[in-house]
Amino acid sequence: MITASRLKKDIAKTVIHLLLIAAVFVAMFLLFWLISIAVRPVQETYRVAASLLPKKLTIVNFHQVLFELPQMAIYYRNSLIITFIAVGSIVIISALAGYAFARVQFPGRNLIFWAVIATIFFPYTISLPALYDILFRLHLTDSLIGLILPYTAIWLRLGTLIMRQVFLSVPKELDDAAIIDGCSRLGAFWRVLLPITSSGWVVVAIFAFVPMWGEFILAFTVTSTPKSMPISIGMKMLEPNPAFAEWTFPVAAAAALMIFIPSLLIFIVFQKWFTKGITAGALKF
Amino acid sequence: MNTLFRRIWKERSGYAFIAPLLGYIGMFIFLPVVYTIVLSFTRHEFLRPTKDALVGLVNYVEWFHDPAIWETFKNTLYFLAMYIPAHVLYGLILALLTNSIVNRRVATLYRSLLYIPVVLPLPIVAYAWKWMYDPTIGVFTHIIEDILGLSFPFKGWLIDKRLAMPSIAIMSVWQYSGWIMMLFLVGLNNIPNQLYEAARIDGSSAWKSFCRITLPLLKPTFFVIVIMRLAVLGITVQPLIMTEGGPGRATMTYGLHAYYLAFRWGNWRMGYASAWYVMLALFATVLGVMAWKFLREESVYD
Repeated sequence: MITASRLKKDIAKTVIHLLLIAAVFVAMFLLFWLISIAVRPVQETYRVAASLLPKKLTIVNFHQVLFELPQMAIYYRNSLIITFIAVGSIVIISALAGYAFARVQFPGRNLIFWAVIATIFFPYTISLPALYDILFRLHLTDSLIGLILPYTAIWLRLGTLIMRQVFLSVPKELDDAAIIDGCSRLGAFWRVLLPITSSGWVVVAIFAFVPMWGEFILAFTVTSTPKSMPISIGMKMLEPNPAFAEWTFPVAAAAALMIFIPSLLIFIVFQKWFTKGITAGALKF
Repeated sequence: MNTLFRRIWKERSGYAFIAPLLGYIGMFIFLPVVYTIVLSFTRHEFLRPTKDALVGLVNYVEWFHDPAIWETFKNTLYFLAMYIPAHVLYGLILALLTNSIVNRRVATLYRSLLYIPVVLPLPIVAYAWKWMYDPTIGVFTHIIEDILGLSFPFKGWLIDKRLAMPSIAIMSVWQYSGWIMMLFLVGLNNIPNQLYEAARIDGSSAWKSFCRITLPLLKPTFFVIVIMRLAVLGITVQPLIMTEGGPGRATMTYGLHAYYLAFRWGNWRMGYASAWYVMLALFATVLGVMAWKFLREESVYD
């Protein structure tokens, strides 16, 4: 009797693992497939010769992306500049604002906070024509700064929400003590609170970086020349087109993988922070 | 009044701390929203050199009579009807499966791997899926016809009127169910274990506990999901990249039509497109309020 019930349990366990392995396979399939395309010679991508696994391995496609497509380097550089400056601004500004919303009792605090947070629910796409018109009047279309400024504003709100939550979870006695000891508010913020809230900063940076690296519609609308295009738009230029003489499909796959790399690296390095961010950002308001 | 000013003065550092936030949000969030509403009452055509004219409700009247409204509504609803239930259900199943694994290390590994599609940049994922769907180089047709030896009854995935929208929905389910899984996991962790123990002692089956305890207590999670998925009403990027609304207008969603009105067709009718966006925002707000009423009331959280 006992063995029968244990057997049943073991079977259930095995089935769960098999289902999960199948789900993981589905989730990873895109990556597997892109890799298998990116490492094969062009001839093997024609349907007649195609197979799931490459017959001949080559790195020529990666070489081509890295060294023979000069615009690729420009797109990549643009994306790095944009995300670096915007994420940096977001981390600093949302920490300052989150601190004020959590600690300083200024009149109108809650009203301002909720007015800012409420806008998260209206995606920026619905005001895209207006935003484009504003950027155009400011002569900021087709420039890096014309993407950096709106990107900072768009993902600043989630950062502020997270940082407020982080500062609320720090015991108030800590910064009170610092202020009594003669620190100014800014001093208390800088010397006492910054070091102990650093994991919050990481969460804010991750949750700003991930969507920003993949932002498409605003960049697609605002940029028109390679000098200001981020990598997500650059992909459009690399799209394989049978009408052109050269069939660049494995090159495009290699390029796609190289755009995935920063996102994957961030995810692998900061894995556990992702769950923290989801908890703080999604369920605590 | 005097005391209010005194309080404002006393806590002035608070305003200094939020000044940069307000600057950014004011300039690039609030101002565009207000300007969108203003634009929706003007005949603003970006490429036309003449000055804008305030036209009152003309854009809204045109919106109500535009046959494209119903067409794009239908397309968007078709997408939502496939996508929302599928990815919520799949995400819930993944959450329950990984939650039933006792070894925490293994469970975390599964979750991390299942979450990977969520962190990949959407436009690149859309391009890659477009290639996977391609009838000549794509992998799906290859698997079905060459490996399994079946005949695929459609011309292709994205180029067939009947399959184009389901194909986009499949991609979206693939990309976002990991995120739903995480939300459900947070919700599941908030359910006290004693409830299940009490139910087991009372002799209730696993299925019964699931229906009577898990599902009702996940209500707040469902609320969060509905609220955070409202943005999908305006889905634009996936059809823009994968089909440009085609074949014909089979994947012309509401968001994509509005986008094309503002940035592709004719003289870039930003005024009229803004009316489209304002109506979309109103619609989303109504749905959000309904979700608040029906899903939020019994929330166990503060």
